[in-house]
Amino acid sequence: MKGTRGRFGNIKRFWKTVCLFCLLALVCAGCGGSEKAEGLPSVRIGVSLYRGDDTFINNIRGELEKRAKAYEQETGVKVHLDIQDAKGSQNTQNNQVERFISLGCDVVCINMVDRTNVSIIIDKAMAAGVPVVFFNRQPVEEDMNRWDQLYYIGVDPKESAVLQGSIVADLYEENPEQVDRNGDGVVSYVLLEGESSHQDSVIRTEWSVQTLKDSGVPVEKLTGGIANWERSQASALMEQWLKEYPGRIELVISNNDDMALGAIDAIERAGVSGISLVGIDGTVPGNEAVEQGTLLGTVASDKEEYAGVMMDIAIARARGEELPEDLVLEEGKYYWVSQEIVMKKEK
Amino acid sequence: MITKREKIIWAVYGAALVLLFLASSTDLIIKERENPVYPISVVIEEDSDDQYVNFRKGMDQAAMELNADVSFITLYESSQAEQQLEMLRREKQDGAQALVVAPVDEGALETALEAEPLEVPLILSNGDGLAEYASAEVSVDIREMGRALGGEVAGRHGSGERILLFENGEETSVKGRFEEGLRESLSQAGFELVSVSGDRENGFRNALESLCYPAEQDAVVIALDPDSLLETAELLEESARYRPYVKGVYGRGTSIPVLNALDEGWITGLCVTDDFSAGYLCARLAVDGARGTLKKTEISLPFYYIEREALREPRYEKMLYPIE
Repeated sequence: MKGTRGRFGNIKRFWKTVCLFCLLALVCAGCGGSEKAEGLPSVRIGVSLYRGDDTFINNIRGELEKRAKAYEQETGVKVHLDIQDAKGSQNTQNNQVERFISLGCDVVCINMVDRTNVSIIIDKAMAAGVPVVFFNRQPVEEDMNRWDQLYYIGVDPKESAVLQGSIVADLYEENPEQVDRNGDGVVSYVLLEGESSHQDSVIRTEWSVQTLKDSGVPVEKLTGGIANWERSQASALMEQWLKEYPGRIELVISNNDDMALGAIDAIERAGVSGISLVGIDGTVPGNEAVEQGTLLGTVASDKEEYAGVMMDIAIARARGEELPEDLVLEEGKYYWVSQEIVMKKEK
Repeated sequence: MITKREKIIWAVYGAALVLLFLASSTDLIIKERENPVYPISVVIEEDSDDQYVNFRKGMDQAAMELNADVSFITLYESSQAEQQLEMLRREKQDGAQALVVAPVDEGALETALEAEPLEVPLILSNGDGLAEYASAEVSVDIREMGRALGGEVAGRHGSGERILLFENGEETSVKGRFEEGLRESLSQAGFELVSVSGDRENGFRNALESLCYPAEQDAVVIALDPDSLLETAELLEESARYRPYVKGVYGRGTSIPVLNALDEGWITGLCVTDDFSAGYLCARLAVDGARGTLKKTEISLPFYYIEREALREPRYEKMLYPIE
């Protein structure tokens, strides 16, 4: 008996020693970490833009900076906004997110380059426990469902399109000749589309035309093309269409303001008149064009609300606080910014 | 039953595992090469970075190469010297190891820093000579720039021409020096100078209106700051009636809207600088400061007077539209 107990005792002692050794190693490993210096109360937010030269995105960026400053002044908490331009490269954006995380960002706000290629960013953020606020370019639902710290802020593309269609429909109802300039009973239109991979582009295209049809406006599509949200590309397309369909284009439906402005550039260069144009976004240059009368109307999303909600979510998550009570998120993660029609003000 | 030999083998295994663990997870056995990040902060004199796009590109380039973490700080309101000082102190308190400042008012900054030094290296961007409180400086001779622009204007226009000096009313050291140089050069050439302080609608438009009515008269506009220059260009673009009376529009700036206005012919001549290099050098010196290897340095960058045609010249194209 004694011999057996002695043997078991030896084995126990041996394993105890091994465990103690391991524990010591773990303690030593813990000592290897560095201690973060105590500084001011602050939050660090990394923002990556799909392209810094996009007018709408730049407007949002400007509002974000204003909100960050206002928050600093109100609370005394420093908001370190690190804004980077991905220049249309998903690879660059992935690297930017990696850098944000390594620099200790509390939250990242991402305007995806490729909304279908989100998994790398989500993986990195989840591993680091950094919440992600996506905006403007909506990731697919499967990706959004992967973690409860993912949010999306954008505008409802169907609502934008319906409002855009109603600008033309209302004008047509008031006086058909204002839109059907040649009086042939049909409004001939051309369509400028954004990137084919952007969710808003497809929906805006479909619903703006559908709204016209639903409102009883007789329409005929002459042609359409993808100008990737860009003014210069839209201008080139419009220049070509003006030559292909001389005197026939009565309406230009554009998925955004920048492309509508590009079409205006081409129309002015060609010295053509009598074409109505509608845009979406309500960018500063877009609204100016509406006031000057070169753009019939646009649909503006509330940029202050857009940036405000982004900042509210980012700061709450960064500080580990609950989201503001008045902020209602669809399915706990989606926020749709309100929109309105912008037409020339009567003087 | 476990033999003594087995015990030893197990113990060796265990020790080897622990050693491997320590080697891979801690610095206790194999020291990992340190790759420190240098937090630096840049505090400019304006409330937006519109005029600092190329400067930021240069800074980002240096930050990437030298592993710096750059915070770019704009003021809550432009040209507030007191606020700028608060920001500098805040950034230092928040852990910045070096600071870059484009001073609103060098005098005020000097007085404040003499009373309470920042105790981190301070790099001056566009100061007036290396000040006592600064560790290094990257600057353009703004006073000389004003003189040179005055010389160009004098060479192009007769001294009978009235010169309208447009400015936004914000007082900064840089604008003050530019105006000094400009006035010196134009007064010597016998020009009549009229100051117009305000903005596009409250000031500049009225001044341009007064050229058309009641009596028609010509004038040359020189904007003392980039914002006023851009607003003048916008007014001329919008209103064809002012154009016959405005014989030239001049100023300084390198932002894309200003360069576009030059390209479109709304601005006649422009003084430009290599902002990308300025940003790069400031960040580089700041990192040197954070590393403790910075020696008192004063770097003077050149300025250039350009007109529309020069925008297509490769050397200016490369300087004004830098690719990161």
